[in-house]
Amino acid sequence: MSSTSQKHRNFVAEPMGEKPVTELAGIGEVLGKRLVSAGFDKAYVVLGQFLVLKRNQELFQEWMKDTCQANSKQSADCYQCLYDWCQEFL
Amino acid sequence: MVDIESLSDEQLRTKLIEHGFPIMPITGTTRKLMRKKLRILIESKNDGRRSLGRYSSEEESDGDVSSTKRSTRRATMGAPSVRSVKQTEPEVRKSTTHTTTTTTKRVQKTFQDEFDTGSDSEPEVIEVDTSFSPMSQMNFQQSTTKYSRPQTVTSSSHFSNSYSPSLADRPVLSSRFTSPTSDGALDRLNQIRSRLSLSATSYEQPPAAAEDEKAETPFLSNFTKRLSQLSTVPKPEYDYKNDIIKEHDTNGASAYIRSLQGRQSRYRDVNPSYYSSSNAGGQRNNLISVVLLAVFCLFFVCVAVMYYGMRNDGGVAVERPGYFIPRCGEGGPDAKPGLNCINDSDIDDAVNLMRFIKPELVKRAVSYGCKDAVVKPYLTEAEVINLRHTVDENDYPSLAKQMENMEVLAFRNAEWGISMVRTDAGNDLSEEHVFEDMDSVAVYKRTHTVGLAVLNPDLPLRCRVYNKFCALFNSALVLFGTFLTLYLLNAGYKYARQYHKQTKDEVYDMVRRIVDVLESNGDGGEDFLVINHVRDMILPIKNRKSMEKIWKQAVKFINENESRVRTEVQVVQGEPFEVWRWLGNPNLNLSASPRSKTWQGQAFETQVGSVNSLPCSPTPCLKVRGMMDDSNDRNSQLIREAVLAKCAHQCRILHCGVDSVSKCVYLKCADQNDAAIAYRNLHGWWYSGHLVTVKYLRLERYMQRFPDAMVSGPPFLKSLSPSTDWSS
Repeated sequence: MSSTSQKHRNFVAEPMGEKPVTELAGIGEVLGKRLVSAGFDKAYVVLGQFLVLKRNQELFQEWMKDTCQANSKQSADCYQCLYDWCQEFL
Repeated sequence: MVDIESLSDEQLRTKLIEHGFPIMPITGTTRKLMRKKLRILIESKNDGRRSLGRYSSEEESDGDVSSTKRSTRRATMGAPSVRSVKQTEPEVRKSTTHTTTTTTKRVQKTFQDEFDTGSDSEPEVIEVDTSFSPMSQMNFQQSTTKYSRPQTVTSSSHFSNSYSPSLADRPVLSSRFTSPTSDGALDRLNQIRSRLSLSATSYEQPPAAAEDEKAETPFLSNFTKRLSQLSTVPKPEYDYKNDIIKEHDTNGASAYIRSLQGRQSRYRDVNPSYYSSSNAGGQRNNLISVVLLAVFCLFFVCVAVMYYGMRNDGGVAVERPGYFIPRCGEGGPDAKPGLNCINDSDIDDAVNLMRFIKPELVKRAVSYGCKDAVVKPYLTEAEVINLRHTVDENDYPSLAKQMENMEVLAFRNAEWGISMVRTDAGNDLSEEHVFEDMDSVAVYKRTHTVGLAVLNPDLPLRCRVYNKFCALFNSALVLFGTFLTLYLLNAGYKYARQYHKQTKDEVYDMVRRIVDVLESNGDGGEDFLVINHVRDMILPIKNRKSMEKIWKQAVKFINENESRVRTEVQVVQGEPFEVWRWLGNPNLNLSASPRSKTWQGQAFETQVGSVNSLPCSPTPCLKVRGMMDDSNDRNSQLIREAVLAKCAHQCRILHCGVDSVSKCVYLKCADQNDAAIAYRNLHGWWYSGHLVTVKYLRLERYMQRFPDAMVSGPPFLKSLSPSTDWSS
């Protein structure tokens, strides 16, 4: 990955607070809708799942694929986003 | 296989741990994922086991082939297989077909024993057998026939030292592959038969070739085999699928041996070829750089050659016969022999003279340009004539005439490179010493001697390099000298400015002190002071001499520019002295009164919870800005005192430094809480008309600036003046 997206940077720049799940890098409207319907309505819920999976990239991407049919690019973006956020704030 | 879906969380976790997977919490959201993971793990493990089974299934399928084998295997189990091989070997050589079969059988068994890894076979292995294809058969045949005898001989000799029980696998090979010379159909039939446990029949016709092979290559050790298997990488054309299928086809041994054959031969062949290919690869890689380098070199060589060619052209031209010769008679009435034209009869003599003196001139020029400047770079006419006279018996007048003619020719033929020069200018010849035409030569000749010289000779390379180097060195020296001068000038200018400024500062300081003294004196009874007394009050005894110049300047400054001081002559103790009388009144007091150097109230709220102060202080260090307007020592002391007075009674301050360069006050408190208190006490206050702002400073930056600041207290800094409650 050469550079990160603006969305990624925005997310990683500050505590996530009550941000919706669509604020996560790699998650757009469609994936966001699917995640919300699966019960993951806020970014911190996804973060919880991310942490429960012990920041394991493979498992997290697998989970995203299962939950919202994310492709590998999207899930990798999302993983990286959460990972960097954790590096910064956790 | 366990039904993964029906596992409980606990079982799922245990299973995952069994498969070496890190423990994860299994929750509603992760259960599905973990099941999936477990399934994948189990499948991958099964795959691994299956592939293992493939490789170890040889003896298993062998065992299925015939029950007799099994029995013999049991029989040989105990006995060391080395012995059995040794015993059977002579037999094999002279035996009939029948004995061969038995031997090979036994040998096979020993082989099996060795490779019995104890893994149980799986049914799939044999099922794959049905996918036996003629194609693979063909491959197989090719590989067996490829197996050439000389190779085996070398290998056996090579590994004869490591004679071990496992040597027995060569006979297996030969017996197994009775078919390399037989046709494919028969071979296939045999395979099928062996699959149908009819192995005995398949050994009925061992061809002579097999026997030969057997005889020649009995000593291939397992070690070799393993080595070859490890070391060989499947070739591109090597169909791994075929290999697998083949393996299942008859039994493991065949496939094993076949791969052995293939690999063995490849091992032998490939080694050199590998080296050669790697060498070739390396050469190819090197080749590009070498070629590039070569082209690079060639370019410079070409340039050099062209350069020399260009230079040599001038020299070569001398030898050309096509000289430009102004003949007398053609030139019209004003043609004068020996001045601007030459008689036909004298041409040869002149050219000969030129040819004669040219080398001498070149030699002189070269030795002048190269070795020593003692040798003159030119020949005078007299010298030329003398030289010529030693080889030519002509008398002097005729030689002088030749000389003139030659000079005329030299003017007309610039390519000869011979020039007439003035000799009175010393040895340093340049273009301006060269005569333009024969007339000026004639004029010059009356008073001085004319010289002949080669101005730009072909110097030897070393000499030329040396000259260039000298020139370079000289110019570098000049450049260096210039830069040095510039640098020194610059440094001198800076120093002068510095010195001037310093003196001025000292004078001002002196004036200030004088005014202070006068002012304080003015408050007392006497309102004038003898000037020399003032000096004695201000300057210590040892400094009076050295500070005299500054003192005088200060006195002059005061006399000229200080309106509050009047210089007058008063009689003090019966003697007239120059005195200073202090006339100043408070209205004229220019320096700001100490009263104004004070805290003047708060600009904005900085108490806990306000937007202007951080919720918690990150470091114990503070940087206070806006306290200093101008920088001098008294001022900084004053400011330090003001800061301490403001906050030292509320918090513990370890260090307080005033930096007059950055015009900041630096505070180091005992801990973060103290820093927060100091922050709230200083931030947003007015101090002598300036708004004070405070920032937190990282500890390491602080320690960088003030390395001697205390790390921990006590003692803590306290204000000299009694603390005032500013918060009201």
